[in-house]
Amino acid sequence: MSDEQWLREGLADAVPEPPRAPDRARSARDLATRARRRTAAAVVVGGAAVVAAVAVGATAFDSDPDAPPAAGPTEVIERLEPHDPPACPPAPRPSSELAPPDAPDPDAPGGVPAGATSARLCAGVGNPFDVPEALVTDIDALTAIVNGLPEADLDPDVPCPADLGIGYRIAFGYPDGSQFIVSGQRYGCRPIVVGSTTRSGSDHPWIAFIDALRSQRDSGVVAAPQDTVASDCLTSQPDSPAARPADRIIAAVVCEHVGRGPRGAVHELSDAEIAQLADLPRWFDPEPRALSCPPWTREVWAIAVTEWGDHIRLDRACGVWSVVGETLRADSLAAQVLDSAAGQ
Amino acid sequence: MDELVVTDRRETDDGFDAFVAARGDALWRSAWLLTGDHQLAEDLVQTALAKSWRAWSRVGADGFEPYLRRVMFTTYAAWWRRKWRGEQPTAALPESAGRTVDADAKHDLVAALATLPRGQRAVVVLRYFEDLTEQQTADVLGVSVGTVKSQASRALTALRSSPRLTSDEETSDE
Repeated sequence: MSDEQWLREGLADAVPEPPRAPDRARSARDLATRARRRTAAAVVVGGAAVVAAVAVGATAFDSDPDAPPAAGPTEVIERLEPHDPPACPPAPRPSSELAPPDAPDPDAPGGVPAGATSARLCAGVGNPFDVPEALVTDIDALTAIVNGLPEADLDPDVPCPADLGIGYRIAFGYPDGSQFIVSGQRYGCRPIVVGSTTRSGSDHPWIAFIDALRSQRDSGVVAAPQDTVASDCLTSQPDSPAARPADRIIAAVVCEHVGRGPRGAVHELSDAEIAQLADLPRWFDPEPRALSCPPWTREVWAIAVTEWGDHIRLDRACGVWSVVGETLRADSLAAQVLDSAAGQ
Repeated sequence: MDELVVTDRRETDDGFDAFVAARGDALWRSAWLLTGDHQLAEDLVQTALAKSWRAWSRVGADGFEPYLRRVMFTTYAAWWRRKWRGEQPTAALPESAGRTVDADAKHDLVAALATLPRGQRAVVVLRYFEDLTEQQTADVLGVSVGTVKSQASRALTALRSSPRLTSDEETSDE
């Protein structure tokens, strides 16, 4: 008997008979009605905050009578129905003058309105990245972290590091379909624009979001990555900061420059090679070390997709595979697999 | 106009009632495998039904069960994430329900199942109890097919190596 058949039969045998519950349907309707009344009461109590949340909303929504009611600021109940988290807005052009939400909007509130039920981490003013799914857990904690950041010191005489780095936006989604977007820069003085204010400490919401997303993934049910195909070498997708070294690789391609011509996929890893990568307990060297030669000397690179839909890119430079933007190196076994695929 | 609204509402309720009568026990069985507890299973079913009821007319009879199943599994994840057990959503408690009957959960396979991470447990219930395909399971959980495969593989390995089941098999072999 196969393991799967053994499990099927075992589960069928294990489940007890359900108790008699003749009024399940009526009880459910009563529960839904009570929940809606309680939500309505909460909205009245916290009306000002809810109005603020709706007023800031950048997305129009239909007045669907079946749409779930907006949760009040005290979040008395869970959402009555699932709703789509916000989509990422297009990233601003690098050379364009900053406008809201990447610059303060005097008409917007100075903090993230209460009641958000989802959040998406999106590319902003800076180096791009891509996170495949939305956060739908611990949104209140993330909101509190953003709202707890201090106002930035905007004194032009205060020097800021002239480094470059990631720019991000967090789009908070509300049950009525509206959004509230904050915009942070993980470089310079680490500013983050929150409605009408500019605050400092942009690293904190970034870290909190990624930590919460990883916890959400560990919960195993909520995450919704759909893209599990390694992109080709011409349209390589930006890296995901949510990827972890222990994540399982499910697809990968190895790419190389071909003369002065376009980049081309050299080799899509076979199932056997993917299995080798996937079975490695950690596929990054746990001891990060600086590379001995500059990464721009790379001629070969790989794009891998994790089980969570994260895309990560590794460059091969000076015989070492390393994650772009990090100092993590592929461990020796993973490097052997990639080298083999690259014909090195 | 009011009469039309009342008629629509009655048809919605009738359809919903018939669905719950036909599928309620099946939902409860899956909920029990997720929670390992009679009352929590009933609470989970009730909450999922309450969240989904208003969607009946919009989703339609054919699409309602997948919709409801997704709500139930998402709710299950949210409950455990928030460690929320306090509220008793059922208005009318089912007969014979109570913690004492959960001696059923002492079944070795169920006990081993309870040690799995929630995601793996959800995949096991959907794939091997509800007999959904990998794609259907992925759709319910909102994850990729690759994730379903890897979670199912890990779950099977963990269950097969569970000391409870190993000792049980060794005993039965003797």
